Amino acid sequence: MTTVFFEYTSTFNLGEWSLNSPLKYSSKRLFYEDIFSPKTITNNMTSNSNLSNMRRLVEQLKLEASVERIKVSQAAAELQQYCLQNAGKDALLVGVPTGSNPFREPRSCAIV
Amino acid sequence: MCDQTFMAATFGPCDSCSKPSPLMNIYIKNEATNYCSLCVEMMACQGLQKGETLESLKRESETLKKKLEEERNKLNDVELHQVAEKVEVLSALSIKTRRVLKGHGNKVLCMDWCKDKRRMVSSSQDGKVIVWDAFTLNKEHGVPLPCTWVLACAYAPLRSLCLIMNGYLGLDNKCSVIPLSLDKNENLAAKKKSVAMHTNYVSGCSFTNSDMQLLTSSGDGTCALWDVESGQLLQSFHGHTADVLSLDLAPSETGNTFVSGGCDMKANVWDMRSGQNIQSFESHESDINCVKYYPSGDAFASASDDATCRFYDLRADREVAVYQKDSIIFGASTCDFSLSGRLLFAGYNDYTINVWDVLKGTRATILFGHENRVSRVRVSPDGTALGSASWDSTLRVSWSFSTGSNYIFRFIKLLFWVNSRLVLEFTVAF
Repeated sequence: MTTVFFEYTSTFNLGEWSLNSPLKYSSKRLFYEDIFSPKTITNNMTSNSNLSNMRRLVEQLKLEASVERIKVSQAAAELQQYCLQNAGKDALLVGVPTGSNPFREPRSCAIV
Repeated sequence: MCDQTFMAATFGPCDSCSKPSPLMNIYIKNEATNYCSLCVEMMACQGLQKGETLESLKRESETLKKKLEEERNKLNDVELHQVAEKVEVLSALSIKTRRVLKGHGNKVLCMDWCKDKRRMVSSSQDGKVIVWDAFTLNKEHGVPLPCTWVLACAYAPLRSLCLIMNGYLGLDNKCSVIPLSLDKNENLAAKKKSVAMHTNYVSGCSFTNSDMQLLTSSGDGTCALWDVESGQLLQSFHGHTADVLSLDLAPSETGNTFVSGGCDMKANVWDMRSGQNIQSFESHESDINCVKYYPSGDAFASASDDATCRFYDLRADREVAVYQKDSIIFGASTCDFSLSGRLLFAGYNDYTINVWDVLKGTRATILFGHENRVSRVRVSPDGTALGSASWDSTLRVSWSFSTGSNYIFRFIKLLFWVNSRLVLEFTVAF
């Protein structure tokens, strides 16, 4: 197994082949199989399957166009309402009592 | 349990496209064949309308896209921050790092909270998965794994099942489930059970509302729903044209949708039962690293390599806010909402966590402290604390102390002090 060392910052194409490793996470050392392996998504397709792909896309767009929408003002008002309703319970906004550990089991005091 | 469209019992090369993937056993003209789910969908689209050419379809898709844009713009009567002008500005937040969890030997790639609000699970590049107790800072379990690219981990909602994702390493594109127990001497790695299998690395995972099903997203551009017990594929979701990097389930108990974001700069909303892509949002300028639903389930946010976080509303079907600043040039790798949804925590590659005011679109505060990229931020289930994992091999837990009670605390201390001084004075006098 040959090892190849090189620097890179983003995905790149080697003709119709491409890297299928997670570039965001991988180290700079790659193996031969990593570089020369086929793309799984956009293979060299026959014209027939290109047609099918386009049909799928058109069907998908039709579906998306038919989605029922509401006005942004109404949607924004409801988001704001949810925020304000729950703001009191939000411990990261309001804070926990100073010096306490929020992970301690809550002890309840009973009034005798 | 969702309606199962099919159960895949075999994994191998598809009869029509020859790509190895989970297969459906179907009958074409009374002949039993094995097709992958993508080919089945393609077949369903074939022969819909005769006499079409590639060009006519392309033109139709262009006109449909324009029509979609017009429809969306018609309803864009006002911006979110304009609606939120009357809302009070946030008071100065006192969120600071209160605990630093050290123990990993290498970059921490992922973390998640347990539903008991106290335990956290984290996975790291040194091949270990550790379960922490955030209160005592003890490590409860440590599971060594053969694969070093454990990209994601999650806690099961009901039982204490911990999910571990095995990332890319040769053919190990699997997702495994490990049942946790209190017996520390048990060899947990031996009880590992492989559940999901993709043809490329698995980037994200999540249990559904029950412990029984698992949703995964993969570098092969698909998301898939698996049955945990049998390891079978229940549903697969095709539509992304590049790696899918993240997914998030809708928060409601009866919700059947989830959102996924990928390297094709699109965020798609899917229906889990039908496998259908319901909505699609394309406004980012680079890979979407993380998507997260708003707590009410009506909107979601996404964090991307283009250094912005964007907020999309599902009912208005458009982007309603962009969180960006000229001074932020590094990509955001993760994001999460606070309990009320007012704050959006986003971890960036410049080692900081920016906290955005969701309604007003401004930055509320920055959290410093990590010494390398922030790989994951997660708010605890009851909203009290923020956990963040980073490539500097530590995890940090932050929470905020209320400034009001701070004064009361000090006042009470002062009273005690005064009291003790008075007692002293009187005893001396007498």
